Amino acid sequence: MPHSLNSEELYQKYLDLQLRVTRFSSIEQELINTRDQLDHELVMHKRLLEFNAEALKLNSEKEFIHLVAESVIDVCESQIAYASFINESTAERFMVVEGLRKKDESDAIEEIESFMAKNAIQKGVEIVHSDGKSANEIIKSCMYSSIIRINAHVSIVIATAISKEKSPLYPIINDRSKILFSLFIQQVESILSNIIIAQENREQMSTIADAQIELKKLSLIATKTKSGVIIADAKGRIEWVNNSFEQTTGFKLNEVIGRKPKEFLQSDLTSQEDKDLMTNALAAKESVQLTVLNKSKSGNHYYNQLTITPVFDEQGTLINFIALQKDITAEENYKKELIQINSRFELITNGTNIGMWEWDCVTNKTVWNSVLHELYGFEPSEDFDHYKEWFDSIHSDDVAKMNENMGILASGKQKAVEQNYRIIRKRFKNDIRYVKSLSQGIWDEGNNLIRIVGSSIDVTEEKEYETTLIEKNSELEKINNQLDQFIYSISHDLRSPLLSIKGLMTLIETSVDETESKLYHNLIGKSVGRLDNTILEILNYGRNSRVEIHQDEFNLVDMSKQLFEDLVFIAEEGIELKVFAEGSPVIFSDKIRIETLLKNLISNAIKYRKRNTNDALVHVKIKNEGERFIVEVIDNGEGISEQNQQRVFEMFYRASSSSHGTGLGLAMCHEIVKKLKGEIKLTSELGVGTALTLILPNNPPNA
Amino acid sequence: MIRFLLIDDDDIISVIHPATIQRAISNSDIEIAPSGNDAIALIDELIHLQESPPDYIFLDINMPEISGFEFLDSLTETELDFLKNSKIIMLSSSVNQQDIERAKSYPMIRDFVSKPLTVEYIRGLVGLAN
Repeated sequence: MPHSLNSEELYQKYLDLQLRVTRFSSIEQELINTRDQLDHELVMHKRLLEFNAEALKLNSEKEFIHLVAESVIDVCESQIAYASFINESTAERFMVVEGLRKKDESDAIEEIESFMAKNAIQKGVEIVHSDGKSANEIIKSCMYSSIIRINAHVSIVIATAISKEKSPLYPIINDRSKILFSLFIQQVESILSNIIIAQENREQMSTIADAQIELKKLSLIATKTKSGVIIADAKGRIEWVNNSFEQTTGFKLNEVIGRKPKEFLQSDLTSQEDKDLMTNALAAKESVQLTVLNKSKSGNHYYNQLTITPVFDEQGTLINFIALQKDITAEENYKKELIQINSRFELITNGTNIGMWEWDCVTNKTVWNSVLHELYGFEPSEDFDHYKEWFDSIHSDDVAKMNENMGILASGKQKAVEQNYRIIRKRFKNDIRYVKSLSQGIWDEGNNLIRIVGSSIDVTEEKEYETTLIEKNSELEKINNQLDQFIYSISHDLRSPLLSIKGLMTLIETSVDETESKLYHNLIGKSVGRLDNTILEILNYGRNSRVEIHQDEFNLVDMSKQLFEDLVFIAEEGIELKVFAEGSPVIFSDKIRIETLLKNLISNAIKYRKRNTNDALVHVKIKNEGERFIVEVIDNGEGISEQNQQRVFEMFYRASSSSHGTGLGLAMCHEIVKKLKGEIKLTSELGVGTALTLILPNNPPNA
Repeated sequence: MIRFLLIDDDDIISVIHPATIQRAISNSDIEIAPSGNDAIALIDELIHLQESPPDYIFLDINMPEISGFEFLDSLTETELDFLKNSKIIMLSSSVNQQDIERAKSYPMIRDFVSKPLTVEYIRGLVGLAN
């Protein structure tokens, strides 16, 4: 019987194999996992290397912090990154957050910062797990953070969070991330240190370069300047002088080096006061400015405008004195001369109205002569700020021009400027005067404006006279134009009937029909009438301006009725007059002028009446108010269009063609009313009627 | 038939001028407008009735409401087109250099004459000088 395994043994073997297979596959799985992890780690390290490479290209902290925030997410496979930079010495501070929606950012920042504060992470790398009580879901996670101190002033805070929900491999990557984060932090620290050191180096280099340029410029200025320059040590012994100093004083650098300037520059004539001033200022290590009388090597005296400035090093120790000296003998002499000239000028201008002034641009002192004091209302003995008083007085509309002129003078574009301007005199109830001024600049040899001298003349009266003249002239021009218009219109109005007569006569000469001839004769008569009427109106118009105003006593109601009777014949159809009076109809005024007024208004009402009916009306309403009286002449006639209403008071303006007027009537009424110091008003509506209102003064003799 | 339009506010001239035209030529048709506005109304009516335009327009300068020049300025495109073959003669009773200069600036104005019109002038105008 062959040996054979029974089924039980076979089953046992099978189970054994099964167990081995299971073991192998779990080992295989473990191997695969390890490989994956190693691969993953490799990726992480690669990312860290990339970060290094990127970071080394950057120059500024800002760019770097951005890169840190972006990279920490990649390197640690986290979801949120927070990086902030603080430089306490420059108060520079900025922060970057990555991986959050804009609206969540402020909450998250607050949370991260409070978390950092609570966990009191002060130095080195600390890795802490957040307890996840955050309102912000994403921070319910593991949080790594670190504060890195680069030096005494600069620190950087980095935090990153890995979300439990969002990271499926959370338990595995957690531990490794810690290591990666630590590595990352080390990288950040060393790179940032490098950046900062590089930057400091650059800054120092540029400061040194700037200082070198500055020094070059300064030495150039010191050498080339026309002012004498002395550099002395802390004890006042000369270290260096420039060319100008050598020229002014006659001493060479090698003669004066190591000596004190006062030993060889001060003369017996230098005042003790000036000497003390200098000595005291130097002892007190203060800067001093004064004008002293000095003596050159050849024994000549010169006025020296001197500025001495002490120089201190960063620790506040006196290291040098720098003195600038300028020979101003010419200016000083000139000043003396000017004072003499001024006093001579004062003598000459005394009694005239020429104001003289001088403004010293160096000392900012102003001198006025007596005329100017008088013009502005100041006593010569009074102490006041001349420049301010003068400038404040300039009329606001003239200030800009004045500034412009002073600018021109200061720039040296012109040696003198002339300006007419107005001043408002505070001491004369703010009256306005016109001033004509001439300002002349005076420059030193170095082309610096040192003073402005000038004259100011009050030309108010001339100006007023000129203004009156201009006004008179324009008035005359206006009158002239009116006269032209008048002559044109007159010639037209006088010639028209004459030319008609000429035409009619030609027609009569060749006429064979007697009825026709008769018609032409009648028309000649009508033309003559018109001509006569025009001449009369012109005479009346002229009369108004020439004849004095009379004072008469008369009854307006009677006058109106009589005028209407005289005029009504011109109307062929029936027309009715009604006169209404309120108060006494007896008034006191110029009878002839009032009659002319009323005649014109009533005749207009008749001429421009409602045609082809029998209900044309003229109403005259009279109201006596004591001091004045009002006359209204109202008709229900054709009316005047709105655009013509503006012009009816103009001479020779005819608004209607329905009657042959001269265009003088209402113009004359207007003139008369003006002469009597009254008013005339017109209201009218086309097709409805017209009302003219006269408001005139009533002058009873006992009033 | 020669058609005339007289625009003048002077009632006496409006008797003299038609009589003078009638003596100068036998076949005339004369319309009279006492103002520029009346003349415009008349022209518009002629356009409306599709009648032929006037051959000659005598236009007074000095008139109330609108002057002769203002009348010309207020003409519409249609009216101007209607009058494109009409000869316009400005009339005035005073010879003013300014008016003459102004008249020259209007190409449609053919002549500028002083009132009154004469038989000789009208015959010369219409080409009947004999």
